[in-house]
Amino acid sequence: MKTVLAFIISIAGFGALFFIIDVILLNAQGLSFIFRG
Amino acid sequence: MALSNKRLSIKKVVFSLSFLAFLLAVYFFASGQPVVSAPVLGALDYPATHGVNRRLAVWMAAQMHLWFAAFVLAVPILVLILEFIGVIKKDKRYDRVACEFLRVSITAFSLTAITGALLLLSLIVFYPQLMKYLASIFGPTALFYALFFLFESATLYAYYYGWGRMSEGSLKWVHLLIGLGLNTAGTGLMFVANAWVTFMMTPAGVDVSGVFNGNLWEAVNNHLWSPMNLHRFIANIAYGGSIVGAYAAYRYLSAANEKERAHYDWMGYTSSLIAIGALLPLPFAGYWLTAEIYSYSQQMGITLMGGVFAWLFIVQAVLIGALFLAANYYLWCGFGRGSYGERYLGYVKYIAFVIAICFLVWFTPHTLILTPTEARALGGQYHPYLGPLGLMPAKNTAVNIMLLFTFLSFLLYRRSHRTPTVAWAAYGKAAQAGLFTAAVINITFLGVYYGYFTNTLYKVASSVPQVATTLFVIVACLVIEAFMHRGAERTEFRWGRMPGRSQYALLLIAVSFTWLMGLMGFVRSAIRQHWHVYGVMRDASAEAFTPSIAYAAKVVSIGTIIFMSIIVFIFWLSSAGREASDE
Amino acid sequence: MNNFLKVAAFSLAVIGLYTFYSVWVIPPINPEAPPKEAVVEEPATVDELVELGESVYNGKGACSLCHTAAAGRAPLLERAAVIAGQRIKEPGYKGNATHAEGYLYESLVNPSAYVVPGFGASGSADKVSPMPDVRGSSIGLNDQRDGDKGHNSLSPEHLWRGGNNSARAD
Repeated sequence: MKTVLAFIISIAGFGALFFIIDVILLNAQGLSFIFRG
Repeated sequence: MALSNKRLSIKKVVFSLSFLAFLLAVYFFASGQPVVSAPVLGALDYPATHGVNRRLAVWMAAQMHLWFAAFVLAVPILVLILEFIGVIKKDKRYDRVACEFLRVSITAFSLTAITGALLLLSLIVFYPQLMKYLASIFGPTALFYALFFLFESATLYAYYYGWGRMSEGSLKWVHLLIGLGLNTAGTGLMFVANAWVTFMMTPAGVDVSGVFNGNLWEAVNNHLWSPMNLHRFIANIAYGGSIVGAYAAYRYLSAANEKERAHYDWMGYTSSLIAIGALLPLPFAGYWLTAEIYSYSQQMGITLMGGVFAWLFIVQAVLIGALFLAANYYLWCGFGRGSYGERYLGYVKYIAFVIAICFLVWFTPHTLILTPTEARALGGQYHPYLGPLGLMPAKNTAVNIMLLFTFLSFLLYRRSHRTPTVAWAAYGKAAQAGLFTAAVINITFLGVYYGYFTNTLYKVASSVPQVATTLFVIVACLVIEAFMHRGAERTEFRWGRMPGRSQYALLLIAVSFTWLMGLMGFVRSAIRQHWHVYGVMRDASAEAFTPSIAYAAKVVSIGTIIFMSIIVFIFWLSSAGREASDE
Repeated sequence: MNNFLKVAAFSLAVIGLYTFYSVWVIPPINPEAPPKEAVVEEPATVDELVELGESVYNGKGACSLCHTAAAGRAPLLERAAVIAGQRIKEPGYKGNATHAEGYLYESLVNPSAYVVPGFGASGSADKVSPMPDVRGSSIGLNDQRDGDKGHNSLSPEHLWRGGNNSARAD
């Protein structure tokens, strides 16, 4: 049970980290995370 | 050392000196040239060839040279790494196998030089005006080439013949330093030659009529120089590893006893580890190469990927897919080496399924070649459902996931011989599983959202966070693994128990790599189309037309067969020589 | 020896498979022959002008490679003659054209004089156009001037009309 919780928390945690990486790397190329036309 | 070895080294010295003299001649000839524009040629300006297909001759010589050069650049890297590991781990096994690698490949060095000389000769004989023009710009680089060549010969000599004498204490470190020098010299040679070939594709430092502005560094450091340097450096490592792996696979299959089998099983694994490890960053180096082609000339880029060569990249996809499948298969067979390997066999079918799906996406084409009737029936040039899978975002997504799951196979393989004993092991594994899951979700999101709901800029840009995700997962997982397995229960890998099929996987890798290199060499040259120097010096010879992929495939296949035969001969020579001196 | 034969046979089979795939499975594509220097006769009628423009647009000019809806990397040209007149009035326009024809000509020989927002080269903040000067070697159109009439074969009007025809045909 605890390991399942750890699994879900790490998905969330690493997901958040990947989100930050995405934003940084897209901004570095002059693009925003959300596409606006 | 036997007398024949001394004769061989004298021959090498003589050869090196004459080649050096020739290069110096080129340098002095070229340095006195006036600044000219690129010659405008007609078909009759090319020397008569008496029935020889000049383009084919140069193509074959160049490809042979590149195959051998890749091999002899890779081997010193592998040898140095293995020798270094042997010193750090104080394990003589690494040192012995490093020396064996070097001994087995020594003849390849001569062949690299011979094919290089053949290439130079055929270029001068068949395309003299082009060579004169290039020499007028790159003349001074011939001097660098000569110096690197001399340095390489000297360090190779010292590295090989000094192995036994410099095996202990501080002398061993000197020996390693010589090995480093050998690698530097070889890499330098490649960098110089890369300048010439990339200039022909993306010229710099010249105006539209080809007049050189005198800035040699600008001509050398053109758009493709750095990407080509990186790509070839990494690819050489992967290639060399695969050839040594194939050698080990063959010796494994024909091993006389268990000890030999164990030795060659280990050699095959170690070299494959290096080969596949180097394979992982290669798609990204290739991506940079293509991005620079696009940035130099949109037209060249589109011809490469969206025009007449698009289908060639589908062929490439098939080869890369084969490489990944073979590498994974080899790892899965390897589960049997570890005592705990059986517990991971259950995962194999899921990993295989994912990799197969990725492979299918990877080689789905976008633009279909249809007759007007077929196009009408289909409702367009693209398949309504599978068409979107032909676009780059789908490919990038597929390759990143393939890499991740190949890495997973590797992770499980490492676990097949050890069990963690730390209290937090279950959480560590949960964290890794969470990391993988989050990564796959992120990579898929990046591919789908930016690939299909935004514009071209995003399509290309989204590949960067995809790569970053994959690399992050690999590094983070390795770190977690290292900490998690502190004080772990370990058993030794049981070498020599692999099924025969697994060795054929290594052979498949080596053959596919060779063929793939040939194919990519073709496309690199072919996107210049009817130019000697793109946009600057037109190719007006009878063979200026761009050949079809079918034709290229046949040429590459014949080249591959010739090259592999010579390599087999080299390996046979070295083992025959060894047996003779053992007796 | 047995092993050697098996390994050799396997390798040949693999090479054979890749050759078979490249020669017989993928669609046969023969690249075009290298272009020959074309001498173009001065068009006598507007229709000939349009035809010439269309052949340049689809052929040597390689315009249709980028200026299509599917490619998404260059502005569409169906209404280029109309829009050209508007572009020169845009606040960001810093080029030298004073009328639509001039703008179209400028876009062909100096595309970076004005880059339509959103179509700049990656990383250039719309200051640099990814399009080459069409007179350069990669496309190689000649700037021919007919002294009497002041026409040139790059005349934007016939390229526009020719391009328009091609765009409608898609």
